[in-house]
Amino acid sequence: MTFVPPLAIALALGCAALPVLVLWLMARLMGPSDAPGRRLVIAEAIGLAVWLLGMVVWGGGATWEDWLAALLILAGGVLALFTLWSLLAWGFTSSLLLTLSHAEAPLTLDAWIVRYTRGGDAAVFTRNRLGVLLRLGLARDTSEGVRPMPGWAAIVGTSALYLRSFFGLRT
Amino acid sequence: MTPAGLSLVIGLAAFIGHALVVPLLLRATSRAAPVKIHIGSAASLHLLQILVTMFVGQAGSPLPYWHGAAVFGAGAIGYLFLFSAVYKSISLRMLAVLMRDKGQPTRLAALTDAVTLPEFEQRARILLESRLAMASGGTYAITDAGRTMAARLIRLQRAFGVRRSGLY
Repeated sequence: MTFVPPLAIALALGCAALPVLVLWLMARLMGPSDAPGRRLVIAEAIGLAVWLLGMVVWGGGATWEDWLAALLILAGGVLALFTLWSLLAWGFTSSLLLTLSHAEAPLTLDAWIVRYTRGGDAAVFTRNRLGVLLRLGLARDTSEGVRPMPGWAAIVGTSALYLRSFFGLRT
Repeated sequence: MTPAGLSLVIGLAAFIGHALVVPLLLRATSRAAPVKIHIGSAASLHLLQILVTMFVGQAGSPLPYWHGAAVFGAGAIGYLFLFSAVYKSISLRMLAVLMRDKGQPTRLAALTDAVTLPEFEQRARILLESRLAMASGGTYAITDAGRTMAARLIRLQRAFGVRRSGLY
């Protein structure tokens, strides 16, 4: 077995890790951000652009297998970093822990929720997470309440139910 | 088939094996953390993939490692991502409640009662079980282990410029 990667793959390995360095540099040069999602998109775009540029310059001899493997490495890198970044920026349990660590005294669950939502209540959190469904067009907000959108909502919701059942999770 | 193509196929076969083993292990071991099951299965199947790649390579020209590893790695990460989405996504849980109401509008308060409040209680329970928080007389406080973990998280957030966390 040969462990030396072809150039396209070596470049993809470097560029899959590059966004981590870009995010760190952005923090150093631009300071903290309230829009961590935007920074992640920029960092990932830089990583992919550098890889593409490298392939244009040096990638002439790459085979289709090299291209496929390199693209899979980049896709895996994007998903891995998105997962870790989500935990750091929006993680529910980790943010609850941070909220508790900032409290001067023990908190009731209600007081904990108020601090977590920065002075709001549980409905603030509901609205926040519901926003994902509204932005993706899976639900719509009406004066009578929230309704799932016909079509995609059923497909996504049913797929999620089947997947939960496949993984042996409670449905 | 080229050696690189063969390596890709072996990587794909290893990923399919991983995708089938994980649900079986999740059903069989209810006490182990699901992420640990994913990682343990991925590590074992990847080791098997390396052994098969070496074995097949001995019969002809040596096979490259990285092509198969790329297929397996991307597949395993994507699979874990999919699992995490259906396992913990609060938005997907809300969608399930909306669909349960069969097209009838659902009030925000009903969603809060059905999803948000139980989720807060569940996450508080996770912190208690992992001994990062403790409960006494209806109140919650952080433990020393929790303080250490929080300090690590804060250091990471500072290093990467994340100012606030929790809400999108």
